[in-house]
Amino acid sequence: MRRIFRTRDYRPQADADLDDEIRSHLELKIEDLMAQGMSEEEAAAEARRSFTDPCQAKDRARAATYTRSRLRRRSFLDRCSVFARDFRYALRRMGMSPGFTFVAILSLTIGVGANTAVFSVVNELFLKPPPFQNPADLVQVWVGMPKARPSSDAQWTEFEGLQEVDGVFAGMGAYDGIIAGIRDPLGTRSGFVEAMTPNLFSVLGVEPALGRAFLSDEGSDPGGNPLAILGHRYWVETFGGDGDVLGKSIQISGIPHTIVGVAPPELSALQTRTIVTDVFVPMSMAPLIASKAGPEDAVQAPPRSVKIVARLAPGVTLEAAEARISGVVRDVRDAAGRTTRDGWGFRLWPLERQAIEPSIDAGLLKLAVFLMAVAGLVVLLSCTNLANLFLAKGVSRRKELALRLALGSGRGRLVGQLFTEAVLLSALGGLGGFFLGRWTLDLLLRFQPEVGVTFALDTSADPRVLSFTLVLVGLAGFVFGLVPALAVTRSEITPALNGASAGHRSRRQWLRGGLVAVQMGVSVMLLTGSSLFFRSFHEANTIDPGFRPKDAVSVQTVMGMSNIPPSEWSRLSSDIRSQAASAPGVQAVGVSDALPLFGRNTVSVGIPGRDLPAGTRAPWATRYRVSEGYREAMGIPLVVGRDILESDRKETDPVVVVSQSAAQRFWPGERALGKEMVANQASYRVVGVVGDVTVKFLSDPPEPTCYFPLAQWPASELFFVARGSVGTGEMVATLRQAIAEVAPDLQVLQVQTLEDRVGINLYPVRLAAVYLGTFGLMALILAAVGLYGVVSLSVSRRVREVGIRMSIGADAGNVVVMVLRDSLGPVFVGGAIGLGLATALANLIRSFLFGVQPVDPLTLVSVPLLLGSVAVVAAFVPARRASRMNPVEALRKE
Amino acid sequence: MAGSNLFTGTLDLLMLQTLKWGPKHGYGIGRWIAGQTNGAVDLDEGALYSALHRLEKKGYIAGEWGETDTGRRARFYALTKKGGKVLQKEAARWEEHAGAVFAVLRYSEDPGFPGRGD
Repeated sequence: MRRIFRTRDYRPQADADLDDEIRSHLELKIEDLMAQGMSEEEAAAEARRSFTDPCQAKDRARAATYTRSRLRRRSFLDRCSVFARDFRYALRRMGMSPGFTFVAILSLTIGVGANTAVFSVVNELFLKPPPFQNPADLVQVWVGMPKARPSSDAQWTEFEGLQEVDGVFAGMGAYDGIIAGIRDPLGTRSGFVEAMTPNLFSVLGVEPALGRAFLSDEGSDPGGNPLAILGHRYWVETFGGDGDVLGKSIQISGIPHTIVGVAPPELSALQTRTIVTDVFVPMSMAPLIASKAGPEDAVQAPPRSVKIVARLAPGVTLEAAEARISGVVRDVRDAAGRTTRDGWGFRLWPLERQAIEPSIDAGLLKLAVFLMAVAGLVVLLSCTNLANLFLAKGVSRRKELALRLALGSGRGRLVGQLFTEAVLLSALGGLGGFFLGRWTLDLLLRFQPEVGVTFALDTSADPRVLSFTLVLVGLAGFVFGLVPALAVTRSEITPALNGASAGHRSRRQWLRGGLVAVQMGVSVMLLTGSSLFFRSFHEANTIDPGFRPKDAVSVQTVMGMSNIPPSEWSRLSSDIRSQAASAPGVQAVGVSDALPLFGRNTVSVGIPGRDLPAGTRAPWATRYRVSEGYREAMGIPLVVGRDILESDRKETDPVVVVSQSAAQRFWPGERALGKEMVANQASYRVVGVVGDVTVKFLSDPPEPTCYFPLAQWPASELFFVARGSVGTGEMVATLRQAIAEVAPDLQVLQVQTLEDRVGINLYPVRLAAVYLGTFGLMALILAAVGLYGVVSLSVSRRVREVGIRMSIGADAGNVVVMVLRDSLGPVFVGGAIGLGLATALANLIRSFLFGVQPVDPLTLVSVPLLLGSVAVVAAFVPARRASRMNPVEALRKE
Repeated sequence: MAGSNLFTGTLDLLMLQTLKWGPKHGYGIGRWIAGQTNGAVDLDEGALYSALHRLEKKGYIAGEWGETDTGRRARFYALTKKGGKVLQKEAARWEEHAGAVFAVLRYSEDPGFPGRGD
């Protein structure tokens, strides 16, 4: 009978009853007070004022109900209902302080969100196994020196040599990526094509989702087999996932290819998961697709290099395989009569350990470690902040908690309740963070730079990411929930009931000191990191690219992708240019085969009359092939001489315009104007010198650059650049219209303002600045709020002690100094440790910073100064208040 | 009954005594005790309800929802048979106990028991 009673008592219903009863009590009291002559409002106010906090009243009523001895005997169901009650209790407490709840959940959401986002990327790059059969047996074959991270692709001839080695590999294949123009039912655009040996799918164990893989004889005949296997994403986006696509045709670099299959969805690209291949073609098509240019470029094209993937034969280790094959490179080069450095040979790299390619991975891993560390710090900061807040809240609830302990509540019950509150907050923050993280990634992916390749990231709920988030949330809840809960309930009952503030140095104070130090250290690290990136971003923005990006646009076309014969290219481009230049508001229009930033073409340069020492390489220069008006349209300054002009034709003397750094490099101390230079099997006379432009990345030093007349060295891929004051949209329209009128068959591919082009170059640094800047700002707010709260709380808890000191003769100055010294100790310790760690972290990201050293004096001084002042103010205000208080009053104060 | 704890026991006794003349709601019980003791014992709500629930758990009183004279919903507590017996027994014990304490406190003269040195 008693058992039945007890079980029923734990039902939530009992709690609802208690709620009702307390409500009824209040109503009766109000009624009574009104009967004594109060107005309704007065009565209600009085009833509430004199009423013990409803929650506390209930807690105590409950505390009486659930005594220790009974809990010890509770059943599983009882436990569940206890948890349910704690859960609702926690919800109610959260509702009672919505501000605290909001701040707690928000900071956790941001912390967890940042971690989830970064971890998703790390997972995608470094943790997920590649989508191939038995990936542990697969190796990537690179060429390089022993023990160094290899990064050189193999030559096709070296791949052929490798195929003759027996007994090492169960199979091998090669591939290469090409950015090419693709014409399909949706129009023409640039896309990413991977050319592969026909056996590659079977080596990797990849089954097409539709149709078939290439057959083993498809790919031996150069230029034969114009076949295509569509990437899954491309298939869905272009053909709507139509199963009828087999047998249809798309044009790649103007060559029709017949679709024979569709790749499986998990295969994003052969080389890496982070880009998306649009179409796979047989290796035999690679030279034709890659030389989207004209016949002249095909002559210049170097022998194709390829990436090799092989599957180790059963029982062969990576080391043994590498020993067997590394000499092949030398044999092949010897046969071709070329010299080889000692040790230069094939190197194997496990495919599982490869994100993009070994040399890039090293940098990526550093960046990933840095970002993980930063994201981890944000969560740590949220946790210490919340732990502090909980501790502070717990302290203000000490009387209530002590009373409940006195009334027989077990400590475990109280810890459980406080902990449940923390876990609930943490779970809500974690849920928010999970979605924030994925949303952030989606957002980042949406703002992809236009470089002809689609970047991919699988943001679907991966079990690894999910469990990572769960563990993180659990840890967070544990750190900021359990520790303060234990600390608060450890307090002795009697002094707390008597209203004594703990004057002695208790463990809790050590805990608080430690929390302050951690908070300060973490904040210093975060702020240092974000300040470095902000400064770097600012520096990068001030870098002069050598041309004026404002008010200029470019459109890309590829003559080779149209039906226009090469003999007409030069005339048509010149017609388009003059047509567009005649439009109102357009100041200059020019044509070039490439634009500064990102890609570049180079040319070997010979200087007549200057013999090269034996064994050294001929000097080289970046080359652009340009028309009249290009320099003006780009806004590159003319130093001396003249531009490339319309009058520089195929039949006139070959001329070249060089950049200042080329002039200095090739003719040091001499006048470059009028000198001769040999390039592309012809002798060119220098007719002008222009300013330097940034060729690849904004942070690069200027490179020697030569500008050749397009008419004397035709190109297929052309960028039309226009400058004017009528607005970029208007100018793009003008260029498009000119192209449509002069050469209706010519497709416009990429359209870009030059400002965007520069912006894309800054994309990584801007991303980092935004990402870390957000964190830094959060850290600043969290740190300021947290430091202020904790420091001022710990000082105000010493008011009683201050009173005693002052009553026995300490003066106000002494007291302030003492309090400041005591409370700022942990701040300085934490700050110093944080600075040390921040410097170490910053060294990791040295290569990602523009024009800022990792040990940046401005940052290293200003960040601790800022946070230190927050702490000083936080300590000073209550210390001063305490020192001004009448000692008797201070002693009386609780 | 928790006779070992004087104060808990006293509070329980007061409550049970309050209900001797019929069921009352929590607020009424508090008011009655305050009135009878001229405000010397003014229970706060937490103590009041924790005591009521404790007694109910022990089966000395039984709570039931009902209506007040003014038509408000309230939970009325009534003495159970078991509670009545406990009240009777404890009241007698308390009176005896209190009488004894009172007797000691009221005695104004040194009774002159033999002490040391005599």
